[in-house]
Amino acid sequence: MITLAIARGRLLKEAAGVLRKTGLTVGEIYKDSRKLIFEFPKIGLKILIVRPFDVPSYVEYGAADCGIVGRDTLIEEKHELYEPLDLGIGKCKLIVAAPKGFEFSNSRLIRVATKYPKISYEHFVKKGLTTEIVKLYGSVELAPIVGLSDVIVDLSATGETLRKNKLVEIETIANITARLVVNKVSMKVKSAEIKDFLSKLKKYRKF
Amino acid sequence: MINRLNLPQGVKDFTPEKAEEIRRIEDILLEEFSRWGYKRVVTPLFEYLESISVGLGDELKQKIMKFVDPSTGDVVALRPDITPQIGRLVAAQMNQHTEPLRLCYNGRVVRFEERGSGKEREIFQAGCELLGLTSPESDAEIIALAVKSLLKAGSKALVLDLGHTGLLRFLLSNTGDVREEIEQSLKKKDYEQLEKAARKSSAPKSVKKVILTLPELYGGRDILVKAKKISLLKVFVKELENVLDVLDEFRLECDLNIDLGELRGFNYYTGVTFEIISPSMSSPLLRGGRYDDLIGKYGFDLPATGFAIDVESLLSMTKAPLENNQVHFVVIPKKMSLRREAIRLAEWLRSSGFKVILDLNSDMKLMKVRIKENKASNSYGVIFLETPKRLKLIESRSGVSREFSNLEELLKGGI
Repeated sequence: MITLAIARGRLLKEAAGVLRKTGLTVGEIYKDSRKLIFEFPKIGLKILIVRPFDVPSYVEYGAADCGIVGRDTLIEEKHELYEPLDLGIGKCKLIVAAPKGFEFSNSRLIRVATKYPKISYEHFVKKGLTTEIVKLYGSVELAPIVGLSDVIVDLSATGETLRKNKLVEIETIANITARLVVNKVSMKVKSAEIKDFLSKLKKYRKF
Repeated sequence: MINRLNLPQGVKDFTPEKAEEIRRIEDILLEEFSRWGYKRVVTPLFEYLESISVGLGDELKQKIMKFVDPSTGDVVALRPDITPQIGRLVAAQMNQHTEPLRLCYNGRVVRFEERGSGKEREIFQAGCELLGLTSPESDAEIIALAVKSLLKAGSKALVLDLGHTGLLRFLLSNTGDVREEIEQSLKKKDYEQLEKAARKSSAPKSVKKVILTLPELYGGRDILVKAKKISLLKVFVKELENVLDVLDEFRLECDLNIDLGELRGFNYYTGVTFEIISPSMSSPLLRGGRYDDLIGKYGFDLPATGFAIDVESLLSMTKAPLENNQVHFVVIPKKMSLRREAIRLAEWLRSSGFKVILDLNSDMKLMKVRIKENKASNSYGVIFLETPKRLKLIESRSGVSREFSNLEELLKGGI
């Protein structure tokens, strides 16, 4: 039996798609947003639906053997995990965006609104810019419109949300896809099961 | 404002039951260590940052809790690991030894952990170091002792995960500037990144090819047969086989896993490394391996191997009766004038091996309360000293009350 934690939201549907292709029929786990645990004893799989930033913790502490989570989360927070596979799903970019006409300047403090304070800090430090980082938990695009920040650092898949909020992409920090992460102990004590799961996913992941 | 009852994140108190459990496990471990001839050493809680960090791997270096010694202005560090301290101790004070040294320790180490990570910052450790030997027999001894100690402490379904850092060091030593990338991808078992990194590397083709097979060199003992066919790895695989041959003779009750691509403690260990894991725990119970370079950093070249046990992880695995912590008797004098007799009585009982609470505040109103309390704790009973020649024992289990004229009589007939 493998317990798999999947980040809720956009990724979930794509993940279910990949699982289905490998022969692990998990049904429409993305439909009922209130149900958090799905058990499939026949195929030896238990699925936990959790918030994206919580996936690494569930796996690191062994509450789940494996997890499917965006690489953004893995770069932002350090965790003791194996990250054996890029699943190729949930493709998007981690970008810096600002209202049209914004230009970086060394002479003043730039305020950044983001769900990714560490990545943002490191990115701007490398560029030699002094920033003040405001950590937000959602609707980051709102911040520059109402004057909470000059720029944002956020995920963007199609650029649609940015356009709607009259923001333009200034630069890409990283290309993001979802990865399969594995608990370090599970990898050893359930090695055959997990090896098998990995090779199936490898065959049917999206590229 | 700080609430006086709160503790900083990552540290905690231990109530009597928990504290007793910790002691019980530590006693079992130390007893086993000493039966293998390992002598206990004690090292300080903090020392100079400069000296301790020399002997730490990169991961632990980032987790040091340090502060300035107010009296000298020197930066000192709370020990995040005890092994480098032992290295320093041996180099400083035991460098005349010609025979192998077998040392052990128990104590707490302190590590900085991120807020909200849920990880302990204070960790109970117990461990052993075998210094001065490089033979496969010495690696096997330390591994066998590690497994036996955990079994003695009551843990079950153990898996020994064996690796070889020397092999990895050798392979990675000529990968040039992509070495860091190769290390990272091996650490995460991210084999696609590994391929990319290897492709970029300036290392000879033969080395690259072996690096790319590392991910497959993982599984049961048969992996070694496969690995031995790779000529660059032959020496290291032979080393592992030699250790396993000796280990076989110990007939340990644990499963074996071999992982030649496991990069743990890469810049610290130099040879055979191991971890002992259990399916019910999300992190290893024990870590260890050969670290031949460490003591040399303190100016005294000495090969060594050792391990450290995470004592608290054993608590959740093993359950033992709490009898050890139980008080057997409460002694209460009926009058103030009987205090001296009561004290003598308690001392007698203690010297006969009983645990005794002496309740000299002979408030007879509290008598019933004491009897009730004692009944709940399931101990032998409450002894009332009515006169110097009359003892009344109220047995906790039955509630029966019996009278004796002296202690010998009580000990003979009472219990």
